Amino acid sequence: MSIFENIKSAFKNVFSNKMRTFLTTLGIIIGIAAVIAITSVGNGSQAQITEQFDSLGVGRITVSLRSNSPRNMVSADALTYQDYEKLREIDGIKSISPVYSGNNASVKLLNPKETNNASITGVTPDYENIMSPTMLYGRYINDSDVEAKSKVAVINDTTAEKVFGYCNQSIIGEKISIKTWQGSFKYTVIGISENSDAKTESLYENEYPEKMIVPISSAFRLFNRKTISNIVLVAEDADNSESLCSAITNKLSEIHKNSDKYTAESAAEQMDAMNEVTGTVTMLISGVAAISLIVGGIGVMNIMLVTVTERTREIGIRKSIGAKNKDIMLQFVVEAVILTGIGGILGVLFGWIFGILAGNLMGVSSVVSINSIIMAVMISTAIGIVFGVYPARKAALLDPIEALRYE
Amino acid sequence: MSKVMIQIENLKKYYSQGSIQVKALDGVSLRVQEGEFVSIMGSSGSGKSTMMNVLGCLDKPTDGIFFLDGIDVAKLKDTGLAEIRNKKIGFVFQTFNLLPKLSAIENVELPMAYSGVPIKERHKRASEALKRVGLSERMKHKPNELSGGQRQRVAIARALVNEPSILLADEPTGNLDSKSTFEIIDIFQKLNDEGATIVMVTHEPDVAQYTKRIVTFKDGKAISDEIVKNRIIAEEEMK
Repeated sequence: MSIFENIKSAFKNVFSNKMRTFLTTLGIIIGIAAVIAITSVGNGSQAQITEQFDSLGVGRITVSLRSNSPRNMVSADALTYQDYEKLREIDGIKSISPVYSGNNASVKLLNPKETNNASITGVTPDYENIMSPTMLYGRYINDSDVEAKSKVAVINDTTAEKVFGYCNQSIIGEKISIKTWQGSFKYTVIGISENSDAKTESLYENEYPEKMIVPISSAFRLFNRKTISNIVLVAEDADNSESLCSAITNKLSEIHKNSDKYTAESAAEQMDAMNEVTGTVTMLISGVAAISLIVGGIGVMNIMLVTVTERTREIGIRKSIGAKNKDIMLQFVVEAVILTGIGGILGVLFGWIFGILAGNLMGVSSVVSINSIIMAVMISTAIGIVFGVYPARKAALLDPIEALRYE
Repeated sequence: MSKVMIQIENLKKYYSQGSIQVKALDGVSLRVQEGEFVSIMGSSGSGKSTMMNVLGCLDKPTDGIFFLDGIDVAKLKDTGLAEIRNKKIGFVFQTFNLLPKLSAIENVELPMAYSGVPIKERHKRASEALKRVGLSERMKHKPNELSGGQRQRVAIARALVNEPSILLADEPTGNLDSKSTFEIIDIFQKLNDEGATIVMVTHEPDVAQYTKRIVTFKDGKAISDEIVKNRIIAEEEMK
């Protein structure tokens, strides 16, 4: 009997009891569906993270105060403009800029239209080299702006649309009114950049969509602060970024006379860290899925043993008309593989649907790779073989006389 | 001189049931020529069923000589025996033993599936075999849609389809009414007339009268072996 005929008759048997088939394969379905759903969402978010960090520039290093020990945080540890000036002296830095982020609920852009809370970022001209924004109109902040504490601002096109209702050359030179807890200030728009966050907004929901870049010295005046949020820089040689990072944190510890309070992380490291997190989650759930698959396999084995007992007489008949042990063996292994194979296919379908649903919920695109489908089919087939062999062997070794007598 | 189909000498089959040794066959010798129609009789426990199982290569003898169509069957292992069952033996059982999920023709095709006959030829040969037993009209029916006599005819077609050396029938009329019994016996007699060698186990002396030779078993031994003198022809009885 050819393998094709075995498959045909196995399908017939498997479909003659649909409910049993469904319940038997449920474990496999859940296991495979979990693997497919998780890997598809995992792949999707990984691809998205990679794309995002690529667009941000992988070579960028962010220096900040560790935020995981707030109890030990003292004001002496806070990063200052002086820190920035000292770090600037370290060799191997291409561009470096202090950043003051005024992400505060009481910051509003008032004129001509009132907007929601705004994000005001104080920087030095080097920030342009680090972030490399696309300038639509006007210019970026320059050294004399910083020196003179000029009330000038670079906004992005989204902000322009919100505040002015339009976005063109004529906005350059217009005034924007900013309200902080320090009072109201009028700033002149000197440049408009393209909103680079637009395409990645889904991943980091932006709480302060109205963005504005001002000279760091002006930011200090706006918020009456002397400390800075962090320092961003780009290494001359990206391969050197690791040693550069340790040089920076050492220098900062030296200045502030403390230890292990600062982090200097490149975007690549952050990406690795995030990938590691998604990787760990994927591994964890895959582990659960693996257990589900094993349990599913045991379920298949159990039902195959029941099937063999139920069909003892059939086995006797087949043997009496000339079926060899290996024919019976093949028949039941094929049937087990068909069972788990159906489970695998249904699992892929459910996993696919579930991945898309979960992806939509999490704002991540779900990517079902052909590899994971092939893997799922291979795994479910392998389960069918592994857990089908024992019952099939039992069937094959039945004594034909005993089997024929079975009622 | 016609061919010897079954040659059995001093055949023994011992079982151990707990500590007791059961001598199911205790030195049986039997010779069946091609074209014979033999019935094996005996009460239950006489060893006739064991004889049938050994003849059908479902069971291996403990000792003795057994040649089937010139093949030394006593020495064969599982796979070899399966091949003999497939090609040299056609089985007909009391309880028909058809596969309930398969149609009549699919049941008849099954032995050929195990001997690797191409699908097209299987279909052709199976419908010919069903025609021989007069069931061409009901080829697509499932066993539960057929009467007992019709089921047994399907079983006979299945037994015939690989052109075996012998037909073994184990109480083939045991589950049938008298009309069906005549029909089945009639088929056997006609097949025998066409040259088939048939060995039939029965405990009904009436049924044995339709065969050509009666071998009687008792306590694991063949105690008598005689030619049927006034053989009854089923076709004439049915008129």
